[in-house]
Amino acid sequence: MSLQEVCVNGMRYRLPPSEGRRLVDWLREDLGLTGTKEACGNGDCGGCNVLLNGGVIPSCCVLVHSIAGQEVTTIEGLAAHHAEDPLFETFMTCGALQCGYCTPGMIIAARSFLDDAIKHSNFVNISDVRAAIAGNICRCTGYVQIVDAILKAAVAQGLSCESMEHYRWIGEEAYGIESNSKQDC
Amino acid sequence: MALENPLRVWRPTNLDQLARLQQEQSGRFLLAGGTIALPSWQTSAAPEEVIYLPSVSQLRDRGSTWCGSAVTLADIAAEFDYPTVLRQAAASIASPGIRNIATLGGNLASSGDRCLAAALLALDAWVECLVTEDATIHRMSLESILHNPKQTIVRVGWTLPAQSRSCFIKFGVRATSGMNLATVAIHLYHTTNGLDGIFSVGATGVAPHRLPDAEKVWKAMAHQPEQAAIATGQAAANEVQVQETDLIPSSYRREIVGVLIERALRRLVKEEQP
Repeated sequence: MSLQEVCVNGMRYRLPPSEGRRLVDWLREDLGLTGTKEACGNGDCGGCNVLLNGGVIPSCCVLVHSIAGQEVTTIEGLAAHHAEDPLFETFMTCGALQCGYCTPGMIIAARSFLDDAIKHSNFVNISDVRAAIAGNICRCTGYVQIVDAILKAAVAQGLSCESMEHYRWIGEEAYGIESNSKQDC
Repeated sequence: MALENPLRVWRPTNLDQLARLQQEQSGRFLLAGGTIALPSWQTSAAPEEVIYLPSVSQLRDRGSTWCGSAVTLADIAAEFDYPTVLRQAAASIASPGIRNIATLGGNLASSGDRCLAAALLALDAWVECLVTEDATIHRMSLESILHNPKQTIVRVGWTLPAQSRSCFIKFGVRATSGMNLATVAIHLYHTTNGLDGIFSVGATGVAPHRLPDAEKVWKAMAHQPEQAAIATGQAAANEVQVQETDLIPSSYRREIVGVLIERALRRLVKEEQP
């Protein structure tokens, strides 16, 4: 790919004429990819997360011209393959969203985390999941259902999970486990 | 609010081009990861011209005992050849997304807590900077950079004695992206005289610095590790430089540093034992 282009969700786009354009503004305003949200503008909340070459980054802290020749995936890019991505299903079944504003950033962070786990360790635990979404702020759910959803997606993708038998799925089959064994909740 | 400045983003690919761009106009802003600079440009005027440093290939290089200034924190944390103290410090900063773009050089040049600086002080690291006048590299101490951050850092390196152990502990109000109250970095290594150590602190409201008194106490008592850990922690609490704020009394920060040093020493000594 040329250094005058950026690949977004598999399509090549020419860099914007304004060199001071932030990635989040370019995606939302120029390309119409409004699934990427902006909230804090500091990289603290994770709302504007996108994948850059597979790794999660906050698009509010990046100039488009600094990522020339690289590959960006937004939530729209992941959603185009939602049938193959268990995160979309598990976020719904676990009730891992209320207002939904943080959800694209959460799914992007979770996707990066799971891809990394598949490549390197084939194993996840609850602490890892919490660390993976440590840069994402949700003011509605309290995170429990989100962690649930990511762990369920990990299992669906064939990853092994530590202490799954002690983990209480919210509203799911393991709901009846005794509270004294719910150490990870 | 959309950001339209800077008007021009320069992307040099090598150090010669970088030096030339800096010679042409001295006021060009050096942009590393951008995680601190871009948010600040939302509220204050952005510079008209910036030089994007990660485009310089030499700044992205790394070896087993050195690291280019544009290497990201995520890459440092994942580099198994690097000392534990440096990897732990990199992994403790901000969140996964920020660590994927924030760089070593950006952390050292920032006005924030500079967690990597505390870790590198414990490794007695050296820094190589670009002299823009003749595009040469000049080696200097890390301390000089911390007191004069207006340098173009090319790379940072360290010499690791055999059988050395190190660790980094951060104490803050949140695990992620929160305010830090203190960080400590410890590096223990064997010499012919016994087990020596270098101790440093950061996030105390002043620039990261070493703790020479604590190092002396440890050196004198290292043959009795239990007592040495307590005495070294007390020495560290006495000598650490802290800034008093409305939120955090200096006595509290001193106490935290003493406890963290003691805890880190106990951890490393335990690892030493077979």
